[in-house]
Amino acid sequence: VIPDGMRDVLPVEAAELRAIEATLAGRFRAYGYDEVRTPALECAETLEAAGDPARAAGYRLYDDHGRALMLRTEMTAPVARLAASRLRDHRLPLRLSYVAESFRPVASQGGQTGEFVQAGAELLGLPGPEADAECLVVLCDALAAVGLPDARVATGTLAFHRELVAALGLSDEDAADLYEALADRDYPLVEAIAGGAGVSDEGRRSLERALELTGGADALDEARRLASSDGMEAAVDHLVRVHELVDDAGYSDRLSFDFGLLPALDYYTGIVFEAYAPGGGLPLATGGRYDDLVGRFDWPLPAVGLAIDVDRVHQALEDGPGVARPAPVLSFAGGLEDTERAAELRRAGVAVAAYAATARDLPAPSLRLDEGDYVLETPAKTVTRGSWRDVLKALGAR
Amino acid sequence: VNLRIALPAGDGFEPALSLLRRVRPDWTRASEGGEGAVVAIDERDVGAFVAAGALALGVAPKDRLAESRPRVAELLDLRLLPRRLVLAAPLAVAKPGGPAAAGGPAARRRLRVATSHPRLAGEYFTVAGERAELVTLAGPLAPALDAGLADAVVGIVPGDDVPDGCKVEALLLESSLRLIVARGARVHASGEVAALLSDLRTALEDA
Repeated sequence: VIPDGMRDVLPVEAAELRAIEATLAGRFRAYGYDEVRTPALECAETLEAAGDPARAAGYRLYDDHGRALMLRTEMTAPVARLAASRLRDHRLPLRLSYVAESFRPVASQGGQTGEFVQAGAELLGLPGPEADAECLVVLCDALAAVGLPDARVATGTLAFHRELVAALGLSDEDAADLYEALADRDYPLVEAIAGGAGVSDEGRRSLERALELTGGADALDEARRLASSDGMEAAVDHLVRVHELVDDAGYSDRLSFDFGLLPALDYYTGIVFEAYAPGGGLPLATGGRYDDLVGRFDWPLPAVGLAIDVDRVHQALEDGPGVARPAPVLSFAGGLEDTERAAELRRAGVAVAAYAATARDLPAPSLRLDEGDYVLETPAKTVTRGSWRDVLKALGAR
Repeated sequence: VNLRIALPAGDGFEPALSLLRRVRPDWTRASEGGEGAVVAIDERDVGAFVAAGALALGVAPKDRLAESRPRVAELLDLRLLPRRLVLAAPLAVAKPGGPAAAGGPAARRRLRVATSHPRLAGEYFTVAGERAELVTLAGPLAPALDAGLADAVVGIVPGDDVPDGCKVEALLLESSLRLIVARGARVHASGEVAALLSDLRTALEDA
């Protein structure tokens, strides 16, 4: 018996997941992101600093002194905590990455398991569109590297909406309700709140048009037409610059814009994005700028980051282009006794599972000694019979 | 991009299909195991199908969306199938102040409530500060009152109807059919989704 929402992962899937994680970690490394690890258990206040009630409702326990602990519900707040407490004397910007499990209580139809692995990258200490663009490029590159070049990254900005909502002249309470409805993407409720709060027809039309504004670079032109303040103009200029930089890096065809995109996390401050596979409903990756979060750990520092959900990437590969299978393991009957030959194969780059010489019906590919000859059988039942040299040649050993 | 849409099987299906046909006359209903853009799905499950991206679009009652909270984008109130989620108790025991007030069922240690919407019902009683024992039922709620399984029900009534022999104690939610879209489809099929949304808005305004 295992707890609700948890699951075991069996060998084939585990190998596939490990390969995805290794590819993602490798791409982060290619951009200079250093891997960090943080404890699975954090003090509850660290995770509560992220300010999302849904995530604050994680698995809790108490230490000997009655201090509230939590299994981490995400990695951005722990990495911000780590940077603020351990890396203050390092040169900025900091480029940090991780591949780690997080834990959340499961909700029915939530589409998420209680334990999930995220591969993420955080760029701390760098403001501006250049940092935002780097983050998007890393994301597009990483998704292409794992085999999802058709994934699209929907990009929006909170800076635009803050100005738009401020211009509506709502009370603090109505504005809070409106942001909650926006995060839930309940647009009829957004319209109802605006209507109930006496927002002008023009204000409601602007809001409606902004929320429905999706598409490629043309959406930025439309957003510029909607911009009614310097702040909104600046938000559009920012996205235009991000688009140019991502375009120069060769990834602008992966980017789309969505002005209805507002995540629930209250630590986001600027650009926000979510990546989707074709035909997928839930995001493969999420991210954005969170200039206020590191400051909650007493080190005010602009930051932007991304987190890729490894299980969703795996699912998208299974649903779409297929999962790359790791090289099969050779079953070597006699390998337990003939450790010299088994070691030679492994040194030559062949993965070998050793069995007793008497073992029969081993999983293919398999190797056994029969009347002085080696017999190599592939999964397709092709049989090679011959000397040790023939075996090495047939296996394509290095 | 070929978009497919889940419509709620049951009372909501025909009105939703009729509206959809006005803007997308070529969208045909999927035969069993066959091709077609329109798929009939239990109204409780439309959100799950769309959240996973199995179907890009869906139409579902607001009360079902509020109950299951699928991670979709809710685009438009279609103003079809108006109905209410209410707390109702038999007239014989209904009192001013609700079923938990003094006398009648309030003499019990806890109120037993049969419901089709346990999450919304639970949240209602938590906010109201009342203690209620919820019994979740898949079928009609009236037999729960008749058989003494529950003292009150939290369930759906069409329009302004009141359940037979009952008094409505509280209105939890006003519901109607909503157009929802998979969050991924909003990215990969943004043009098609925007065009459908615009056409449906126009059709609703014309009506």
